[in-house]
Amino acid sequence: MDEKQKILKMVEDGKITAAEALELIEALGSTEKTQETASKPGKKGKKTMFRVRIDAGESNGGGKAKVNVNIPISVAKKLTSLTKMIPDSAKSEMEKGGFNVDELNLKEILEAIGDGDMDEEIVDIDATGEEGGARIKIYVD
Amino acid sequence: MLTKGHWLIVHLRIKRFRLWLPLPLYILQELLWQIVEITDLVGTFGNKKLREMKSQMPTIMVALDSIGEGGQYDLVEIDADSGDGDRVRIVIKVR
Repeated sequence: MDEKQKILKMVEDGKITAAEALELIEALGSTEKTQETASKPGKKGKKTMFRVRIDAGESNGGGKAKVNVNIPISVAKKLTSLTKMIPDSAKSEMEKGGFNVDELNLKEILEAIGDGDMDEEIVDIDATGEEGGARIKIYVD
Repeated sequence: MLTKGHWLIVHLRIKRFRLWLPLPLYILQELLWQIVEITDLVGTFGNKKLREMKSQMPTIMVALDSIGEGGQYDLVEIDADSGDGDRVRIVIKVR
């Protein structure tokens, strides 16, 4: 018997009034909605953490390395100004390759990610082979 | 107050060497400022690149300040194993 049926049974038995039952059903509805949002970090839900996972190693007993970086999106937004710190020489090298760091609006991108306008998985590269390799995953949750 | 603000907790493990270093964020910021000021005073900032870095110090300070805004979380976790028994583990937590 689900929760709503239990409430209706209580009304039937005269344990609670119809108004009280309505209140309970409404409360139940809002709880269900909250649980749904929490269980599905969701395509449209608010994201709070920006995560980078790098898993590199050799499968034949060689070295391996794992790197996990977690940055709250609110913090990442403030760190976007750090692109100013990229040396001019590096910027000009990147421009030669057709990439202008100054034109990149990281703040806007992070806001879009945080608002759930973008997919959870931003980057997922699996370059593992028989002799090892690396898996890089960048995602938000 | 010594417990003011957030703390950065650094765990470092290299072979048998282990380090656990809790550091209040505001002390880290102060240290960084003082190091930059001192190196400026002794003339190290004659170097153009380092001078650029000094001009970016306010941005770095804001960035460090904001690290604590996300609550408690593990900022960085690095675990590297060379395969012949050498293992390095570095964890930086924000608490």
